[in-house]
This record gives sequence, C-alpha cells and structure tokens, in this order.
Amino acid sequence: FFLFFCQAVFMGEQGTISVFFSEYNNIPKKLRIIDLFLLWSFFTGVIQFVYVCLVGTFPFNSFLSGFISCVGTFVLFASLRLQLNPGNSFRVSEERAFADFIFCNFVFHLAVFNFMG
Amino acid sequence: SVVAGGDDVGDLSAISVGQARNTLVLVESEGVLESHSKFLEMIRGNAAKYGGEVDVRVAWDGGAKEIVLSKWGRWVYDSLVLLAPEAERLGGQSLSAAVADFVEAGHSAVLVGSESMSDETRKAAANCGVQFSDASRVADPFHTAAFDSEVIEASNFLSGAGAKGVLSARATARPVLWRGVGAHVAPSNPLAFSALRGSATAFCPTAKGALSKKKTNLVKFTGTDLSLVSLVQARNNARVAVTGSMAMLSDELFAKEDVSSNKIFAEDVTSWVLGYKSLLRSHGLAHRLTESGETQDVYRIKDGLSVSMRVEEWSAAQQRWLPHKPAASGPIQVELTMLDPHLRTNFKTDKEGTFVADVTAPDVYGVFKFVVDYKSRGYSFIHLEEQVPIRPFRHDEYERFITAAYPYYASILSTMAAFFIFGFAILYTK
Repeated sequence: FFLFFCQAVFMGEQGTISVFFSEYNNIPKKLRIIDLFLLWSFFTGVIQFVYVCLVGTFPFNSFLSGFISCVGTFVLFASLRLQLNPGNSFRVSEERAFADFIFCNFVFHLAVFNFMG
Repeated sequence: SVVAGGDDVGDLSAISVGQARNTLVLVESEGVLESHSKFLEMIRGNAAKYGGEVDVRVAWDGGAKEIVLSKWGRWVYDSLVLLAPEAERLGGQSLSAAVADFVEAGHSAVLVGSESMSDETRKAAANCGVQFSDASRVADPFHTAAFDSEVIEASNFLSGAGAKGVLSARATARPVLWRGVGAHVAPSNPLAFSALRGSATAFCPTAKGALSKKKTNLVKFTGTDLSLVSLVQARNNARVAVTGSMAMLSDELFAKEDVSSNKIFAEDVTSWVLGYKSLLRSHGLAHRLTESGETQDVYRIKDGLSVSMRVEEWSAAQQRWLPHKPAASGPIQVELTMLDPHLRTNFKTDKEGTFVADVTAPDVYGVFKFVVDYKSRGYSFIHLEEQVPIRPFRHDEYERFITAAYPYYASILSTMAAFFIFGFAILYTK
C-alpha cells in the first residue's frame, strides 16, 4: 500500500505534486501575493526560533513578541486569503475583508511593539 | 557610664569613660595596704597619668558598710578593684548583688579571691561566668617556683589574635608567679576568656594532696581547663578580671622581676579592665549612593551603595580618641541583611580613620539593614544597625535595546514593513 501511495503522489503526470505545480499558476494573482507573504512570515518565525534555541531566552518578552509577530501576521494573512478565495461559501466584499485585515493588523502591531520592551 | 556603640547617647557616655575614672579599691585589712603597696601605687600612678581618682578603703568586720557605690541614682565610682576576698557586704548590699549591679551598669571590676574567700566573692565571680574551684590551692609539681614550693610558675598565656588587645609582648616574656585558687571559664561562653591558664600538669589537690576523683574537678579544674586569671567583657562592654590569687599582686612576687613578669602582667590586665586600652567607640553608620553621594530613604536594586562608619580607639597616653587601626584587631565587616545576610564585606580604611565599604544592592527587594556586629576578643564590642529599604525597578528603569534581542526587534520591524508593502501590493494589482 505504501508503494502505491508514493507512486500516486510523486510519479507521473497525474501525481499530486505535479498537478499542484501545474495548477498553481492558475489561481488569482492576489492570492499568490498573499502566499508569498505567508512564506515570508513563516521563515522569519523559523529563524527566530532557531536563534532562541541557540542563544537562550534572556529577554523572554522580546522573543515572545518577535515570534508572535510572525505567527500573528501569518494567521492574519491566511485569514485574508481565506476570505478572498473565490471558491469559499462565506464571502464578504473584498473591501470589507481588506478593511478588517488592516484594522486587525494595526491593533496587533500596537500590542507587539509595546510588549517588545 | 556605658561604653556602647552607635547612638548619640553612647557617644556622650563613651567620652566620659575615657576621661577621669574614679576607682574604688577595697582592701581586706591594713596589712594588705602594705603587702600590696606596689600594686596600689601602680593604680594610683595610672590614675594620676590618665585622669581619675583612686579611693582606697579598708573593709573591716566583713562589712565595708559606709562605702556608698551610688548616691541619688548616680554612680560615685567608675571602677572597682576588690582586694578583699573575705568581704561579704558592700555599700549596704551583699557583695555579689553590689558587683552585679555595678557591672550591669557598664562599670569595670577586678575581683580577687583567695583560699579563704567568702561565698559572696564566689557568687560574684560566678555571676560573671567564672567559677572558682573548692578552696584548695592549685598545685603544679612540674612548674613550682624555686624559692617557695607553694608558688607556681604559669606561662600558659592568652595567645592568638585576641591577645594583642590585652597583653603586651613583655607580659608574656616571662612566667607569672601565682599562688591561690583556680577557676574555670566555660568554653562555650563567648564573653569570658582566660588570660592565664594552668599548664597541663596543674591540678587542685584534695586534702591529702592527691588528684581529686570527682568528675567535676577533673573536667573543670585540671590542666589547661584551669583558669588562673580570667577576663570577661560583658555585652555592655563592661570588663571584669577575676583571679584567685592575692599573692600574684603582692609586693613579694612583684619584686622578683628577673624571673617573672608579674608586675607587667598585672599592669596590662588592670589597664585593660580599667579602660585605658583597647577601648573602641563607633558612631555614624551612614549610607549613600556611590555616584551621587546622596543619602536616600529608599534605594533601588542594583544600586551602588557606600557604607561608612567611624571607629575610634581611646589613647590613654594622648587622652583622646584616635582613629582605630584594624590591623591589630582584625578587619571589621558590614552585612546587608534581610532575615539572612545577602552581602558581607570588609571595611576599608579611608584616610582619617573612616571605614568605607562599597557594595552593590542585591537583586532582591525588601527591607534590609546594614549591620556591623564586631566581636573581636580584647576589644569593645560594636553593634550598629541601620535600616535600608530597597525597591524594585520602576517601569521605566528596565534595560532597553538589549543587544541579544536585536533579531527580535528586526523581525518585528520587518513584519510591520512587510504588512505596509503588502497593502500597496494588494491594492494596486488587478
């Protein structure tokens, strides 16, 4: 069964990975931009985590606020992507989604900047 | 007058201690005036040099009734030398009660016993922590004086760090000739110590001349546990010397200067007891911030603090208080305590004798106190306390821009910049 699974995912034109790569460029441009920023905040978070594992948690509140800023913006970008995705059933207007996004980010960054210390 | 350290009251009375001391010398009978004339002359000579009057009285019919130690609530005499082992009453009270009151008021006393001493003298010595043995003369077959088989030569002097304050080098150069009743100072007593102990072969013989079989006698009154001259410094810095030998102070043994140091030893011990040397006073335990020099009510954790204190030693020769040099008595320490000492450091001497110590307030907040508790053997006790509250950081006193946190600052700023750029990106793409 395991061999069958690997074959289905990786090999051939109909494998999951190749379908994914070929279909990716077909999704709307806005969503691809959001995906870019999602990757950006993810890798920033990973870098910080590795740093704290190496150096230790001395200014713990600074570490927390830095890490949370990455995680939080990832969540906010992801939720914006969800709301803008045309395939989803719950839809609000694009302007409303974007305005929510701006407001939430404003509050979020305010909190993070104060907690940084 | 009480020699205590620290507050202003102690300051004023400490001045009077160093000045004229009125000494009462109570002798047994007029015969003692002649047999101990050199000792009395030494006391009178010191009093003439260092100020004070000496009043020599003869105790007759076991009484000394007309002597008054305190009149209208003020003490008439500052120190007491009792050369009357058989006296029972003094100044209208029993001798032990009179001596106890006298010492508790901070005055010094010299108690001398003998083989026929009264119970009151024993009790007075026991009140000071020195227990006399039963009335038998101390015998030391290996250290007997050549001219008299009853006199022993004692050379087991107080030694070590505590000796310099009490005995000079000349006093310990030759043995002391001694004849009388031995005593015992409990080793657990922090205030009493022995200036002259018996040698390892000293003992208190029974009536038949043998070593006593009683356990108390073996444990307390044999060998080096036997104390021939005991000294006590009470917590109020009153000094008491107790010895069981009238003969040690007699002219006969003073005269033998070539083989003994009786005269010098007696002079050293009497000077120590009467407050002519090793007398300290301390005042002015002050604290301030090291950088600004400002004294505050409340300090903050991790502040640099400076503690300072003045300690002075009385110089009888110059009749004034000189700055104390701790080389002889050991370094003085200051502690910063809250239930337990958090810091403990030695004082350093400034010029002009001020003691200064620089400490950093610990990382713990609370109500602390600076405590100086100086107990050096032979010198006055110093105990000063000063309460110092220490508060934690205010919200704006924490560290900012910590170097180790730069990556976090960078990530937060970059995330905010990314959000800003994203706004433009998403609004202006089709």
